[in-house]
Amino acid sequence: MGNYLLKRMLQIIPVLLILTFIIFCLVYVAGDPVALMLPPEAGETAKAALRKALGLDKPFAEQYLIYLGNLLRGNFGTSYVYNQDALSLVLERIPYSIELAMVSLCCSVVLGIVLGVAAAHFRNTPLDLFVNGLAALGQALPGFWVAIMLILLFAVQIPLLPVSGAGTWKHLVLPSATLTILTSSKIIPLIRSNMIEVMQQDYIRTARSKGLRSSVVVFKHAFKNTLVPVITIIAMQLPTLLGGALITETIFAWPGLGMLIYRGVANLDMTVVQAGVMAVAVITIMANLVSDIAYCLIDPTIKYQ
Amino acid sequence: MKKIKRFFKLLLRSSTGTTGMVIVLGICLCAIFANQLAPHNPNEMDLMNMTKPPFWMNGGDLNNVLGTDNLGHDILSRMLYGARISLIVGILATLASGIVGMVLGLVSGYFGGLPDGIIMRVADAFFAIPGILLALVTLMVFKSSGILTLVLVIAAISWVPYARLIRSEVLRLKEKEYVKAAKTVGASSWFIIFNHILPNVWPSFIVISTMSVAGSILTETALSFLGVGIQAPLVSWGGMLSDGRVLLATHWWVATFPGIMITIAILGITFLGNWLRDVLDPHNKGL
Repeated sequence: MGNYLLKRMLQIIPVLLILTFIIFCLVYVAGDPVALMLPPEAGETAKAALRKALGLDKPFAEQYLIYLGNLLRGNFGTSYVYNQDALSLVLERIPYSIELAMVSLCCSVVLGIVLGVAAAHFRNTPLDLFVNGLAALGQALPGFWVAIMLILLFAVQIPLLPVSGAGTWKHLVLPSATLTILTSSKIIPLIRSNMIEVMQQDYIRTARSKGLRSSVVVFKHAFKNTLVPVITIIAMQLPTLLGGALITETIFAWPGLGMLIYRGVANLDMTVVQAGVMAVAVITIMANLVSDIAYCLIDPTIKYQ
Repeated sequence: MKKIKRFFKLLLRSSTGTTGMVIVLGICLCAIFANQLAPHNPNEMDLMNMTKPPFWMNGGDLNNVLGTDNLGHDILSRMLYGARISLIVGILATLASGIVGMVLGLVSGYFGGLPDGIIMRVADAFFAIPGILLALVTLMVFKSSGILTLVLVIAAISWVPYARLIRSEVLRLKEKEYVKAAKTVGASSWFIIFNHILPNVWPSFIVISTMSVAGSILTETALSFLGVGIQAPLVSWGGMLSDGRVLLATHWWVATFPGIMITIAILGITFLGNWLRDVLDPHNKGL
């Protein structure tokens, strides 16, 4: 296992290098930010001077190497729009994204487990059909439409909840409900099929033939063994919830990472975009690594080469 | 002929498969015959009939069955034309990402070694950024918003699942006796890939492609909603939703109907995909 983990960690280095290259290329193509940084009446000489000061007149490869060197020193550059260190801007927003992601993830996992286990236990009954239908519907719904419909229902028709901003728990309800609907519908079928598989194992038959109550068999014997895929799901959904929730964050004006990146893209504030996308990518890679380690610890039958 | 008959026999046996097929065929027909079916030109502005409600509400009539938006566009007509864009983008993006993912997966799985290492690390890198984020940044940076750009960007963010799936299939097939036998008699790598590996990879490829059409359509609508996807005068479901969002408090129907349409389309494609997965699974009886 030690060897496997070492190999896994070493693999992160080329992935990060490729990522920085992709992001750098996008920023390079976006063009130089000089026009945005200077007042409109600035002349060509002023522009050229600033370009030189920023190192934008250097060849592509050299600029990339300088960029890498800066990243290694934790220097992500300064936002042209906020006039603030890009990394600190990103770090300011991350807690909001984590708050939203955690609430949505907890609700989704609980909902996914309850409905998934119920559907598996009452397989091929109307309840199972209903849960399956619900999950299929949830996966087909476009996230931004769910958000809009929730606003229509709970803020326009019945004015219960605020539609934008952050601060109180009320602000959290609609965005996290949107993300919960989207995420739990992915979790339910996975838990269900996994539970069905576990329920057919020999030890479940043994437990049943011992005369244990059905609830004990389901929760004590079967359910524990469905927890392994739950970890994968959390690792897979966390990055989507943190960085990919940008549409939900934008619609509800939730001041998280997604909205920061979206605003950054709209303002062509590429240093912020760079720092934000890098942050999301690093979180994703870490989440995958942690889930792999968690596998080793939880399921001793998984073998690693 | 016999195969087609068998296909329909199997399809009719499954209620979700039939539902999926009916929905998908319906949307295809809407897209193909949008010219004939649409009661109005989708870009015709009827300034006398702005934000008219659907026909069953007070003030609505059968001339604009699902009402009009704030510029007097007929919503039903726009939805029919939107089907065209969504299907074109969905299918083209799936084809492009499928071909790229297939080739990379085959090379990565069959040859292993350095090419495998490089391809899989690039796949990891793409996997680490949420697709919608990468697509948004790329589209903003290139400042071009034609259908072709959109297709390429969606393809660029969705080839990874193909490459990974095909690679794992190839790794499994590579160990089969018939592949080893072919190698022993001196068949070239590409001969083995085309004649022994590819035919066995098709079923998984078809299933994941069907799902990918649904995913691509969702991505297209999301990007159009954010304003970086399909641009006027072309009509897209996501764009309609985006227009309707500002009218939500007063004119709910503008944003509601395109959303229902997207949901039905995705549901139909997913049902069809699930059915195909069951039918093409070699453990089932299959086609």
